[in-house]
Amino acid sequence: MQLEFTRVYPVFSWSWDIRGDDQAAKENEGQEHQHQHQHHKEDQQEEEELCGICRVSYNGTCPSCKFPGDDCPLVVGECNHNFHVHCIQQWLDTATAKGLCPMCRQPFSLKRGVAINECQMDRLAKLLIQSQPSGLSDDQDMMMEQEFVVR
Amino acid sequence: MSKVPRSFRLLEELEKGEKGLGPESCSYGLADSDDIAMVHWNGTILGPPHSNHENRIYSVALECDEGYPDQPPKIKFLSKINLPCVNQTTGEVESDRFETLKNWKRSYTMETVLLDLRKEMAFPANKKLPQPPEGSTF
Amino acid sequence: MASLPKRIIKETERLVSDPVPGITAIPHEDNLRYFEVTIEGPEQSPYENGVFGLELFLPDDYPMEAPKVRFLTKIYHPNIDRLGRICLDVLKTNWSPALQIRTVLLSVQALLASPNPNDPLANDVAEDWLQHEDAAIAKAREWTKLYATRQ
Repeated sequence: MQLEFTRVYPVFSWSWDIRGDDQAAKENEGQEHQHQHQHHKEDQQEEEELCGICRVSYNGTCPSCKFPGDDCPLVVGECNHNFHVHCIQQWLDTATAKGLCPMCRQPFSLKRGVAINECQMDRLAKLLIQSQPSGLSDDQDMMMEQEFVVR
Repeated sequence: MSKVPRSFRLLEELEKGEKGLGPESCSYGLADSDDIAMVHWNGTILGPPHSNHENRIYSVALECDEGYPDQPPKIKFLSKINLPCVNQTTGEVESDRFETLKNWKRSYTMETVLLDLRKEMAFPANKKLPQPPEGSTF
Repeated sequence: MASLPKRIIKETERLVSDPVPGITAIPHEDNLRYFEVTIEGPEQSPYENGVFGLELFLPDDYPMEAPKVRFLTKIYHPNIDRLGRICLDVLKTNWSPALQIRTVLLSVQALLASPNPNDPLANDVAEDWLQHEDAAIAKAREWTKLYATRQ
């Protein structure tokens, strides 16, 4: 049989390379742990694919962007919770956030050694310093008071 | 901007009034702290300096009915005052003679009304109007 | 009015298609951020058999800011004041954008099951609760019958 291709329509799909999840699984290779982890993952499969803040797919955009991809990148937290960078930035910028991850309330930081995090490190670093829970006590109070005075 | 419903808008105003975050020249609060509908309010206005109102404290009653804040509140002086926009028999502020009520905007609050009434007292044409004895009421 | 964020549309749809037992939340036709809510009093609490009306509003900054919630039905509870305002950490300092309308309403229902007179909003009620717990619970039951009976 001979086939002759007259036309070819290439179709591509993409998704974020979230190496964080695999790594976490490897790190947890202690046997009981792995079992638990996989169970956990199956249960949460649906939840895992959505940004915990805007509830849009990782591969979609945050509410203020139109085009997915580099315009609206995803970041991976040290705690393995992933968000659109715009969503987590906006959250960390609020006084209520206290620098914590919305999902697990651990101090939020970007996971090291994950490709998609690299170009966001600088942008988030400043925000995180401002909202570190350790620096919260006095400085934050004073900032809030000043805000009231200005109003 | 989304439309904040009446009750949450009034709760914001109440909180501002309770915490004293507003200016010192006026104050306001719920007339009855059990009133879940938050219709009746009390307010005070401190008379502006360099006028016949200086050092006087005027009491007013405000009514925010179902239409608030799309519609202006009704406001009535309890302390007697001589001011063109105030009905001299009832103490009611007449909306067609008071710009803030006449051209009401949703963004205006009870505080806006009280502060604008205070400005009205300080108007060059109004500030030297003869005033009834202090402490008299409508 | 700006268009409704996807997340709010999704939450509303799910509240209708997969309602939480004992809780209803229906948006007003003329303001889709403003919900009419009912919560059934939890079993074995003084609010059992009561149906409480509430209102809920999603501010512009939602989900960065918590929903605003208030009781419209009179209720005798140390953490709910006479205007129906609720003292609940997740509505204020412990808000997280990972929470949703349904989880917030579940927290309110849980607050009915376990009043906390040590962190009061209605001071007179809390004092009553701490000093004469039986009488306070009886009064809460009586108010439920008086004001929160299903029509």
